[in-house]
Amino acid sequence: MDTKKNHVNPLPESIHTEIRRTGDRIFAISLGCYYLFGLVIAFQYGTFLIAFGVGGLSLAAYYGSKWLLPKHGFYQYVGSAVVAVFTAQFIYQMHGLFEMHFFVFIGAALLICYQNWRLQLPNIILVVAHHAGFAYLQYRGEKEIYFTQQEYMDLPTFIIHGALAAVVVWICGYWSWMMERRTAKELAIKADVVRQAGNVQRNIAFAESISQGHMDSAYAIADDDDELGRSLLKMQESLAAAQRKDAKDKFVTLGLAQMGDILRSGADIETLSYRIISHLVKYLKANQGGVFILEDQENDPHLRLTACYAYERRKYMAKRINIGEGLVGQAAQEADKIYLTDLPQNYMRITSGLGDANPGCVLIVPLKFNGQVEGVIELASFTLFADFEVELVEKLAESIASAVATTRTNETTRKLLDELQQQTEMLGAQEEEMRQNMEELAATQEGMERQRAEMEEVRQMEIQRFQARIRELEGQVLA
Amino acid sequence: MRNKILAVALVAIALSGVLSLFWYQELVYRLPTPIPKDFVSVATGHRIQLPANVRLPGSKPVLLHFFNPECPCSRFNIKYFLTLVKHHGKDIRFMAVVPGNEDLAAAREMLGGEVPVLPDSGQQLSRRCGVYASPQAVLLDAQGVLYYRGNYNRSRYCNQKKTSYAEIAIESLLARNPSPGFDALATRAYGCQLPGRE
Repeated sequence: MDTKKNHVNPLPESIHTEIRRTGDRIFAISLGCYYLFGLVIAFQYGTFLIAFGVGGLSLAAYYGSKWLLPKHGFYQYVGSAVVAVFTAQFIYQMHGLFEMHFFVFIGAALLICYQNWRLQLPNIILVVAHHAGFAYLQYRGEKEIYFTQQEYMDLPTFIIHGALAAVVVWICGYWSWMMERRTAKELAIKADVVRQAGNVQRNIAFAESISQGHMDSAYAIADDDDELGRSLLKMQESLAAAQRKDAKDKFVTLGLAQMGDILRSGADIETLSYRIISHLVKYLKANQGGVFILEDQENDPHLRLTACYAYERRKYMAKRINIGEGLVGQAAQEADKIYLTDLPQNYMRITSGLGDANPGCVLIVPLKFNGQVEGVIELASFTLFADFEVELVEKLAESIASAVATTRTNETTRKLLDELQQQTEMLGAQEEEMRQNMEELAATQEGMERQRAEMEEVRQMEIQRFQARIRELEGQVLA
Repeated sequence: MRNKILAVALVAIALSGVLSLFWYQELVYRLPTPIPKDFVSVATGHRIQLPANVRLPGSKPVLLHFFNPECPCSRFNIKYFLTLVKHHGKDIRFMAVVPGNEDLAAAREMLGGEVPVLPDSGQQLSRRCGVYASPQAVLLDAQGVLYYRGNYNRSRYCNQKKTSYAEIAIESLLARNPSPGFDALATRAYGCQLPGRE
């Protein structure tokens, strides 16, 4: 009955309490009966002193130790010894009546109620000590010792007597042990069922929480058997991941769409730049930002700050950064983004009315379109940008670069158009002037023609007059 | 910790009480009764001079049963004594002797009224019979000669036939045999000391 070989878990405290309560009840009734029985048989030989004295002291020892140490098993061992003492008392009261010895067996059977084989020990130890003591004296030859009522209890008889008692006590102890194991198993199963029922309730509550969209609700895996809980946690993680991905996709899509609207607004570079950066800073919940557009006039390529949001203006007072100058110029030169989370001191300060502080990160993204850098966007934030936010900025950079290129082209076109128009207008004016000159020329020509006609008419008239004169003269001549 | 000490102390006290009770009620009587200082041995075959207040019938042997209602040992063999009375009452006159007048009523009640009870105030009778304990049997033949004085049985419960000394003595007397020799277990008194004979 080595409990170390027992694979059943130790009995939980509540189970001990339950067994103890049952055992106490049985024992209380039994000890009451023992005591009363002692009083009843006291009438046989007038052994009231022993009945009251020994019985009373036995009960006092049991209930006193129980009262003093209610949660300790000590009183149960006292109870076991008390059973042996009662047996001795009854044997005495009935003048060694052999049947009174059966109370040893009754006591052993009674002790099973506590389901603790060790409780057999005090009972049997007292019996063995008593018998062994007297047997030793008797077999040593002490004539004064009357150990038994039998005329002579020889050694084989004594051995059989003791062996039978040992068998009974062993059986009772074995049953105690078996019952303890069985109770432990049954109650472990019961506890397991209760625990699993608790898990199911928690699973249901957790599933309902997930179904209501609470992806951040916590759930602690109760034990290794909580497979459903583990699956629900995985489901929650998957759903949360999908939700996060949806949120990111939505964030990116919405960001692209809103930026598209801004980019299609068709403003000039400065206005467009400001709209872009103000929207981007707000959308990313960043703290400040700037847009630099590549200017390449007269073979002097440089970046010009066309718009900023909450910038410390002094830093870019000149609003001009050469290619390769600083991080912004470096990003433009390498046509690659720069994302810094460990910023050098005084690189940039985010200022507000209450003070200023170093940003947590700076993101510098070149505006590239068809491999051509059109400018640079710089964003600063106290909190770090997530990967998808950086990706969004990179995607937007391409669109912005395209828009910048388009705007730049549009502006160039518009300038050319203006120039053409001016030239056209100038040409029109010149044409008008020419037309007026022509008209004047025509009028002059007409006047000249008219003068010439008049002259011709005059000449004709003169000719005619001359001819008439001639004829007249001829007539006259002839005449 | 305090309660543990108290519980152990309580159990120890109770155990001591139980052992004391068993000792004073039983175990002490398993030892020979201490012999009084003024004890005078009276050998068998000696004619007992009975006190004046004790009159015996001259026709029958007499068994004086020294009985003390207060003594557990005396109470233990009442049943056996009455069995002897029942078996040999026709041939033997049984008489119970109690230490004093105050024990008469209790003794009569315990013995069922069938046996006459003599008070032995001053312990005259017990001295003359060489008795200093109870229960003790004193068997006198019809002439008042001490035939046997000693224990009823080796076993205090009187249930060992081989050692039922008093009965053996009665049967021997009735068979008119000389007093059989018994060992010390028969003649050395076991039981309670008689009052006044400590």
